[in-house]
Amino acid sequence: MNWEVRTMRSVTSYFNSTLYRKAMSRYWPLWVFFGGIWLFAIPLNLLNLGMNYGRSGYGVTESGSWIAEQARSIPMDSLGVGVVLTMLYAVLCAMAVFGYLYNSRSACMMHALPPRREALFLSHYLAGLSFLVLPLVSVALITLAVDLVLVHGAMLGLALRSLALWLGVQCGAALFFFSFAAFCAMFTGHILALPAFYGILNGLVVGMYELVSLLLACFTYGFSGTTVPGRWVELCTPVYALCSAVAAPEMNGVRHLRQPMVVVGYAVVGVVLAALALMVYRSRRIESAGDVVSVPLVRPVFRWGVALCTGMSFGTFLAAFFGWYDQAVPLTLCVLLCAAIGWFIAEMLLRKSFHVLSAWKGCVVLCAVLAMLCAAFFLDLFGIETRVPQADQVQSVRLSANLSAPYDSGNPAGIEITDPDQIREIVALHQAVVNDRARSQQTHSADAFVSYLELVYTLPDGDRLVRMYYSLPLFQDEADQEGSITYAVSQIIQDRNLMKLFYGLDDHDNDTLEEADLSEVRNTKTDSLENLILDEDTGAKLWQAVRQDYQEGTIGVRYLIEDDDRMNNTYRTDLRFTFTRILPQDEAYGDESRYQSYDITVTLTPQATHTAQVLEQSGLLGDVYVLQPHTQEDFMETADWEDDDLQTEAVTTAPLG
Amino acid sequence: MIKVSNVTKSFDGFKALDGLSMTVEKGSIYGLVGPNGAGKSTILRHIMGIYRPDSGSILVNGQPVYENPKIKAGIAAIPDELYYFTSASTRDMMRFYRGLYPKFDGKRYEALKEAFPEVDEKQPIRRLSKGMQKQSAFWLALCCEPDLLVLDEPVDGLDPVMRRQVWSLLMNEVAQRGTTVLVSSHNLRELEDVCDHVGILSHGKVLLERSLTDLQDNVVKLQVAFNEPGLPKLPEDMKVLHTSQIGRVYTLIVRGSPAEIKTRMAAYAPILLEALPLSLEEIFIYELGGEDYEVRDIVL
Repeated sequence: MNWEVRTMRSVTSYFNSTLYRKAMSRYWPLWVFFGGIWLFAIPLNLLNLGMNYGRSGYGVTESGSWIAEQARSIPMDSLGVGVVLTMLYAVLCAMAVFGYLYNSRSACMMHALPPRREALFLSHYLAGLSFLVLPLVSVALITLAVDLVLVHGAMLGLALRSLALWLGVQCGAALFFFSFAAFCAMFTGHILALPAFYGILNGLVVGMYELVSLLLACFTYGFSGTTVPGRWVELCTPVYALCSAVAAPEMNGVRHLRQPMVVVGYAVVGVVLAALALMVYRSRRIESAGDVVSVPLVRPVFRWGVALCTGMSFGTFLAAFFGWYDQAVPLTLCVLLCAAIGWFIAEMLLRKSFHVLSAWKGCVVLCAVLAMLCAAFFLDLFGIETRVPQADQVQSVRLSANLSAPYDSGNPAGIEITDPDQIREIVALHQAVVNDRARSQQTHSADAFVSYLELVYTLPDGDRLVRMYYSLPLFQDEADQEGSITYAVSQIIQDRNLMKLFYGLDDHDNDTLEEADLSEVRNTKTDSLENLILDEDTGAKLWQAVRQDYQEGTIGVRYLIEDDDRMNNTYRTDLRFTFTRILPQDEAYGDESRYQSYDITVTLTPQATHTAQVLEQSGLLGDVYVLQPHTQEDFMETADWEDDDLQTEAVTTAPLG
Repeated sequence: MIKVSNVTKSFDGFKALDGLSMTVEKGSIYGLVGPNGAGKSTILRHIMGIYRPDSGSILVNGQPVYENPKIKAGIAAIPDELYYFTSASTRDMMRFYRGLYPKFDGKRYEALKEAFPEVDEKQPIRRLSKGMQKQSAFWLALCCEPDLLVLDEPVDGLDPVMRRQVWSLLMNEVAQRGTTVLVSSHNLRELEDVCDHVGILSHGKVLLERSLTDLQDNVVKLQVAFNEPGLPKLPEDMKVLHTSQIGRVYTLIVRGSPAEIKTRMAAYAPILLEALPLSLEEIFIYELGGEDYEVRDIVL
């Protein structure tokens, strides 16, 4: 009696070697190709580098050190790519090994065989997992051999550590993604539905979050559709969470996984999903082969899911297409229409028929639910629109705004504010905006200047609250009217400490000033405006002069609106400083990305004597080059521009800086 | 061997089996007939342990067949629509089945090669003609040495010579090993030659289930002629299912024992009285044709 027969004697066996071997032999190209990719990516790559470096004539010591560094870094650098590759490959493996469930003939043939479903599932599950894990282990062993040959001494330990981390991460990701794919495979009877379900479920949480945010943003004043997902959204989006977790910054000469427990957690979830998949398989109806959804209980979920997603995504798109995204009734109608279409599409997929109008009752219920949801959003029943955090409950607030002139770095672009008093000023502005929502419609007013404000609060529990207001009307005559938006903005721009923070004048001591230049300097000989690049020494002196002028209140003065006062007290000429900052290792993904470059722009003023003095001493300004004041034309341009806007769209927008 | 009791099965609201009951005795060849959509393939898939019934029970050798490896190891099946792995040859499938069926007989596989000389065992089965694929299926199924062979339209696609050979192999299997054969077919003439029991399905139920002998002993075709024109008035308890006339000769299909009917008819002193055997096809037509029109669909 051969060995296969002996294994079959055990009727309670949950594993059948014949099924396992058959799956392995049938789909050998899958695992061979997967192994081939990794073989070239790591051991052959390393070997090739070693040989090329050896041929290039470097010394043994230098060559050995470089190869050791490669042996250490190649596995770690491929972690993120590996996770994505595993995610894609896992579903292919699941499609292969569980493909027999999606065809009536093959499903009947396999289930007529003696093994129980547990044996069918586990044998195929293990085969599919082996498609991923066995090549990884093989590649790790080959890499180990290459490391032993090429790397010596203490570096060998680091190289092997990297290799072990790589193997652990890839196996963990393989366990999760393949189990997840197997879990999805149990819910469908159609082979093309499997990758679709797998892809959708992989991004379901972040997708739903974005869709709801998008809809909320359409209905809710200030709510941002581009809100950054919270930590839980990241964690529930496997590929995002795993790629983020396996980033391996270097600390103290050793590269560590950023969040190793996330990988372990996902591997554990993989085991749980495999167990759940088996449970579903045990109760699966074989006659469901060919059905898009094979588990009857999941069909309503599918129907509602497709309808809601279609309604929210295509509904908002349709409304935006016709320019109705900020009009509640047309927007709601678009959402309902698309949801109804989604409902019937889902019904067609489930019934495999175009005759689905009989499902209209469910569609009516869906539309009623969605209409109520839209109404709740519009009426702000969840209090999203009016939510303003208490100042003392805000850990920090990141501010981006265009609140005042001139349009230099004094308008904050993502400035983090942590000072309680300054936070209070920002919260007061936010509260004024919320209280004065009705005024947001008055951006058409002739005497209104329109501003923009984005707030990202960080609350004590780490949660973030994001609000964006794209068209805040400011009125000069309300500057002293306490509680108004204009008053709150005035308070902010008069706070010199806050403005100093916006300009970032105290925030660059550890950074390197790379360059400084003057924009729109008048060349009196050619009577044209030119940009001048300053030498390093002059740039450094100018930076100090600007800081001194700011201390004396002669530069960085803010103006609420574009009036004569602003025009007469500022030049057109801006001074721009370019700095380079070196990020800490744990904040950068590689050596090159550690160098971050940024600019600070300051509009020059006639009163900034220290700055003017440095410019004169440097010889840049004199007979040929002079700072360009605002001319009568600038006044006219501003006025014309305002008039044009009033004529065309009756909106006066603050000019860009 | 097989006892199916009140099995129901619905597919998306459509009742494919509606309280179906049937019994197949060990060592018998049971023919299952019925119109399209009667539920033949569905009940066969239940008996193979593929489908789980919504209600009712299916016992094979006294044990439930669903998820029962021990029972399923003794069942070999040839479905209407064959499935083999892509690019798998008969030999590959033999290796596969050898690992799954404990009684798989490798020697028999080699021995049966001669019975299927046209089948190239190394050629992918999918490249074989439909008839050869069926031959390959029989070859492999017989090597499993099953206690129960479940066949769904088994000889479709086979040429007449091969049909005869396959039936011969099956009869031999039954005779030598006591294998029970459950076969579904539309071809009543063929079933008549091999089956000892038949069951007729309609609308998910078994309408009739009897041995072929019982069926043939319960209906008789009489050809009678009398001196006087016309038929004499026959007793009311004589169940005449059908009457036809050519000249003075009447052909009567009468339900009951042929000997008894012939004796009773002789009392009317016919000048011609002859009892003729009915084919299975005629039995179905006359026995059930009037009661259920689908029966005619089976044989016409």
